[in-house]
Amino acid sequence: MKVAIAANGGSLDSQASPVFGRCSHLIVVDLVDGNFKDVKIIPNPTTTEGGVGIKTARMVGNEGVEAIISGSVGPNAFEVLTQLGIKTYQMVPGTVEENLTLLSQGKLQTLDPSARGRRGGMGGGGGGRR
Amino acid sequence: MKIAITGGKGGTGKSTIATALALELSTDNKVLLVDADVECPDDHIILSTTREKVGDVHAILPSFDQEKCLKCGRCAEVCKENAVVFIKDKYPFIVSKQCNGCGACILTCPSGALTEGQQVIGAIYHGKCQQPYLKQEHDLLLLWGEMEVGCENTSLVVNATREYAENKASDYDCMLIDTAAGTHCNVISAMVDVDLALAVAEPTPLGRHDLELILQLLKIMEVSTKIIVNRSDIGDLKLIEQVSQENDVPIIQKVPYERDILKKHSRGQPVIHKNIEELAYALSEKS
Amino acid sequence: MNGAKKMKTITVLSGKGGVGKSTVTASLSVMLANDNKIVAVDCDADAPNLALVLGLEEENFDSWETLTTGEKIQLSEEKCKSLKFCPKCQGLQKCVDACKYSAITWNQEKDLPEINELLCVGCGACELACPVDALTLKKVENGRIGVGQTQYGFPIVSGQLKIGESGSGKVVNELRKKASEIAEDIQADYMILDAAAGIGCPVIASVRGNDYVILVTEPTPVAFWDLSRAIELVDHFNIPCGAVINRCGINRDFTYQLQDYFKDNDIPLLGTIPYDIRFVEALVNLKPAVVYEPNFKRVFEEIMDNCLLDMENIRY
Repeated sequence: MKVAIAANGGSLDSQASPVFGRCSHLIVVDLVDGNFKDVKIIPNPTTTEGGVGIKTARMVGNEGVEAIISGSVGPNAFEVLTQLGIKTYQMVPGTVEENLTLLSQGKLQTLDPSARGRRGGMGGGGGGRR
Repeated sequence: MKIAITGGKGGTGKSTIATALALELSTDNKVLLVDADVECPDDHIILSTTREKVGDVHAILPSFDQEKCLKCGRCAEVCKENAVVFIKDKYPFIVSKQCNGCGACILTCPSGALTEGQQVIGAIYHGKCQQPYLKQEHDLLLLWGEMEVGCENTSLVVNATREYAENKASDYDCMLIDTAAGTHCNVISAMVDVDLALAVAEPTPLGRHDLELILQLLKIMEVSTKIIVNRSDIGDLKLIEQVSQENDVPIIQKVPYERDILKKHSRGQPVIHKNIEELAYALSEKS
Repeated sequence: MNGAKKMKTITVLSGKGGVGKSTVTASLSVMLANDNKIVAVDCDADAPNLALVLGLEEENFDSWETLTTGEKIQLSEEKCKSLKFCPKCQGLQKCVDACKYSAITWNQEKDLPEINELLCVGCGACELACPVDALTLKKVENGRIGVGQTQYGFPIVSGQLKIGESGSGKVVNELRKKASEIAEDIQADYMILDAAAGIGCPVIASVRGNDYVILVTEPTPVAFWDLSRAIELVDHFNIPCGAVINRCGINRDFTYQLQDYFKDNDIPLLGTIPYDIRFVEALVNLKPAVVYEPNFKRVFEEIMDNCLLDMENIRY
């Protein structure tokens, strides 16, 4: 499965990014039986135009990925990803490599863009606060 | 007579003055108050009006006919908002919230695959004043626009609200237009073709700074302007007097910040003050 | 894991103007800067005030640069004059129809289109509609952005929309770009953004993609109504937020109502600020409240601590 992950740097050791449209790099990997094949690093330059999320979503669309990993996805980017049939997974704090491994083991959750503010504890259960 | 109430800075008292003035004027005039702050319209809260929707505001949203589409991608190229997504060999599609309804993609499409559809970007409401504190009869209708949250082309909602108001204008003696804060497109659209603009400012360094900006805009727009100093008893009145002299724009009235006004403000009630009564009198003399 | 920590971005937002965004931003910035490297950004390009509140006048900025990211349509009268012979248009006034922003009208006397630059948004639809290429988009100056050093040990980025131009959202995007460059240079821990009033395009540009939003409100029905629209916006962009009630003394009953509302909606109340004439005095004296009256430090310390704690609790 071809996957793109939003990252704060240009390597597998970089931290995964909590944001999608404004992440510094996208790392595209072909996950085959838990191995990383054809690692491609794409810088995501900060632009000043609107529609950053849409642009980034289009970029991963052009790469032909089936899924993305990010901490959050804006509403417009989510619309584009959905239209393109790309799945979105919720990242966990850690490196790109750790997140990709978790995904290949089926341990990442799908991202719910309507849950306000990414609150609460990990793995559902909700009510992480108070 | 069409009067805009503006001021540049947020929270200087535009809505407070506009609603109070509308109440004063409407005791012997038919008044249409237009709240053109479509991002956060407040006048209906202050006046506790009824709330009746008179219609939706639409913008163009292109609709696709995939059968006619050549997958050339020109629609995505001309879109300044990045609202059209095109991926090679796939059908393009539109992200509706990002679309500003300019129609450029429709004009450029070589095969007629794009046609004018619509999306709702806001609504227009009107309402009658229901203030239980009022002792007199008021011939006042409030009209306001409300944009959909998350929509960016707010000036289209302002335009639609203004247009609706213009069609009703002949039924009224006086139209007051309460603008949004700032100097951008919303405020410009709200003040096109008004007879007079009242710039509300408070006598603080920030108030002076923002007043200077709005006066510059009004000068470019060639609108006759007068200044109202709100909360005239806080800060330093000289700050505003100086701007008034430098720009040759007179100060027409000063409204103090009294305890009573503060209390009413905290309850969301309109202010009744003798200085606003004087202002209303001065304005109706003119019209 | 590699060590580079990611800067956090915090936007201060209120919907309604004049409820105290700049007061809160200025004092929080001063407090945050005690132990962190920060960059402050005034995202109200229509009526920028944050630098003034921090005691920095425009002429004391280090640098100003002109922005030319705006576009306006220009008419070549000569090309348009050929229109009568143009088989495609023949006085159909296609440009007038194409403009959805009512910026083009037909001048019957001159038999030429007339452009109202104040209303033109630079979408380019008329350019595409004109069969003789008489209309072209030109880059225009739409504002300027400046960088300055506050006396409280952190830089501020501020902008000014050129009067009569539309598109303050574009200026905000430029401001954020500039601020990100500076943040990278000084290895900032936080970027704090002061949004404009309202919930339109400049505000959306200041909120998008950020880590946290501080909602400032006051206990009045009007501020509450605007706040609820601001919360809708924050939810639309799925950004975690916390609230601050300013001037809570002016209406105690309503303050309680607000507290209940925040509890019901799972929005943490970061702190409350009393109504005190010294806040107005601080503004008049162009000083952040915590500098003008050191007793206010406790108030803002609580807000800051709660905000940072809440940000830590959020799952990224």
